[in-house]
Amino acid sequence: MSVMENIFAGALPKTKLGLFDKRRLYNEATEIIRKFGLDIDPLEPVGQLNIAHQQMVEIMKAYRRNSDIIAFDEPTAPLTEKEIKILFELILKLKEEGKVVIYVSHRLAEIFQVTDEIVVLKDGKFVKTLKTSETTEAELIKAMVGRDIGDTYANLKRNDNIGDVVLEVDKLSNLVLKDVSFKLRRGEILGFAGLVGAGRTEVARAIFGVDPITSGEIRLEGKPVSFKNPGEAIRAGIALAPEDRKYEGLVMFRSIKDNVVMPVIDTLNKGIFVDKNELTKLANKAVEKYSIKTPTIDKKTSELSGGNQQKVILGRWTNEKMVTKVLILDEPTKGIDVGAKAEIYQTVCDLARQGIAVIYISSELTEVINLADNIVVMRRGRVTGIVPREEATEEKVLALAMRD
Amino acid sequence: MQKRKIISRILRNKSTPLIVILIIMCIITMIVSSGVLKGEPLSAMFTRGFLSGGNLIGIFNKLVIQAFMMCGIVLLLIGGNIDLSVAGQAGLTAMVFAWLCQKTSLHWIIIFLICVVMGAILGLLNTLLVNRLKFPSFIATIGMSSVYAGLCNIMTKGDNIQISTAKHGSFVTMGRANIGGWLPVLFLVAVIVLIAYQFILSRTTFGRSLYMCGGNSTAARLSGLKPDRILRFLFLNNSILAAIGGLLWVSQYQLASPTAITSSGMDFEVISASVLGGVAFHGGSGSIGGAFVALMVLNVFENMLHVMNVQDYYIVFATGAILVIALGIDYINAERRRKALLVASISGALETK
Repeated sequence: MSVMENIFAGALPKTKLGLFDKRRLYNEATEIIRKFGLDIDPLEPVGQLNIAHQQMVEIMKAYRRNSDIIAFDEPTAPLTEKEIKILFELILKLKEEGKVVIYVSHRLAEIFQVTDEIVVLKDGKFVKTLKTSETTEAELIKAMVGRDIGDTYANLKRNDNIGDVVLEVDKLSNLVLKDVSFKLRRGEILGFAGLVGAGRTEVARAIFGVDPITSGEIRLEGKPVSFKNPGEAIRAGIALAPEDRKYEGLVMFRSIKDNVVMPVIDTLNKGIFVDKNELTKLANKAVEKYSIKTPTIDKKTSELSGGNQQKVILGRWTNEKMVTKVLILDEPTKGIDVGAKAEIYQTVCDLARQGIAVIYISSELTEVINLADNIVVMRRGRVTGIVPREEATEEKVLALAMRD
Repeated sequence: MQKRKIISRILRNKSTPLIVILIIMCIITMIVSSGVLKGEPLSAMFTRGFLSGGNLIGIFNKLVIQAFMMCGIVLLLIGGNIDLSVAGQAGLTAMVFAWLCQKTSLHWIIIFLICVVMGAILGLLNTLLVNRLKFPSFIATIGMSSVYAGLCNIMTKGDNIQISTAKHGSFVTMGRANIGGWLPVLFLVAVIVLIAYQFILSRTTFGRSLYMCGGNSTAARLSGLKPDRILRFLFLNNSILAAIGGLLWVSQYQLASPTAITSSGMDFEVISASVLGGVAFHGGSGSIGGAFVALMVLNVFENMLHVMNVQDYYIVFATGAILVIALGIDYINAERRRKALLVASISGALETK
């Protein structure tokens, strides 16, 4: 569809006969584009514009509706510096016309540049409203972090016996990642912090052989490895519990049993048939080890709670047929209730005590800071810092996560 | 105690309602078609109409080719894919087989093997389209089915090719051999194949992996399974089975016809029966047993209308209606699953708060 049709979507002008009035549409669209001071042809298909201009078309559409309130949700993400400047001028113009602008962003600098007032939300709750002119960046970060860490973490039995380097990632790059380097030791919990889209999940996927690597090296126990698919990574001793349990982690409408044995199913042959006894034994052990609440191992995983689903995945990666050396957990506590979270934390510590090296990716800062031995902070595909546990504060990690 | 356990297992089995329907339909057809109601002696029930040797052989013969197709299709469906060109592939291999029988002096067993290899090649072609070029299997295979049907007609300008009884006597005998004048030997072969595939599904590690890949191929891949490789095998397996089915059809009728298989709708019947028999259209669950019972129900239903002298148009209408209902039920189930998943994820998110 063309630019003008997009701007007037849902309110296309009509002639007296009720037909579509292309001339009037063209004139009115040109008028709006001129008002915005942009150089866009109203007849051009939107698909052919660059992303910044597409964004502008969206904004013109909102403007055309004559709304009193216009909300921008992370509008600058795809834009370049120059385009951001144009956008800010536009926002000022809207403000002068008396419109209310809501601006959602995780870029603190921008917030201070365009806003008059800042509303801080945390975990879905309202924290406070700040006057931009009377606030500093540090104050804002403090409000965002909040102070409500219970003693869940204090009671954890941690592993204090960290061994040799198991996994070494050296200048790893691909479409998203740029020169990511870090070391992971036996029995260590290495936290990964950063904003959504910082590239943490991509690091996990690249190590696990899901996404291709363009340059850099991964060394497992000193030997360079490059996995073409997750199967190879698993056989080498790397396991990944993906962020999206329901679509990437579990086969929801199959049983706990089937889900637990999935990576080792090939080894469960007895003659030409599957060894059902062995299979049942493995599944039962997982249920027992992680006290998964279920009447039977034949229950479908879709019928379990989030916490128990996560335990099924942990059971899968730590069953006795597996040789897991590196366990990557991507947002393991997402969508899990508070009680189950504490259980997962202890389980992760226990796994570390058994000598498994854990990569712990989480968007909950408190979690990473309290659980991890070292924290890798990422920003836009790069590592902006590695913070040891003793020096880790939320302010410090957040500052690194937002550093430009 | 033991007895009660067995009874409750039978009652909970998903195929039980279908088996009951099948038996009831057989009895009704048997009584009505034999003319007992019009004053024929009771013994006529076993000699005339539905239970007459000729009628039973007709039913079983069609089930042979369909059983072979079904083993391929059910596996594909469980793996979350579909092949709408099975009838086309079966028809084309049948035509090539008959043509080679006519034109060359090779022994039919050799020609048979050549045609099975040809089936495998057709399977590779499907894999190429679906696995490599990433066509949706529905679209790729529906297109190929037209290509195959067209080729069948082009080969002979629409004529049938007869198999010479003099030249390939044993081939013809194979198709005609029967026990007691009503049970074709090839049907027994088909049953053995069905049982073998059911075993592959339920008792081998391959079968387990197949269910997992069909249920969620992303999760399966991230757990070290190889959905692509399994899919490739499924298409290959499916095409080879379709080819064998087509060749056995030729031996039953001593001819290959460019239209009898390709436009019979028997592939559609197989797919619908699979779904009716509990195979999820989107993959991840189902069994050969259930699907085959449903296939028998469809065939007996059709035969029932035939022997009751219902006009063909009504038969087409009625089978069509049943299939739509069966697919509708599967769709509703799938929707229910989807919603359950949605509710589960929402309640999971709420738990956090």
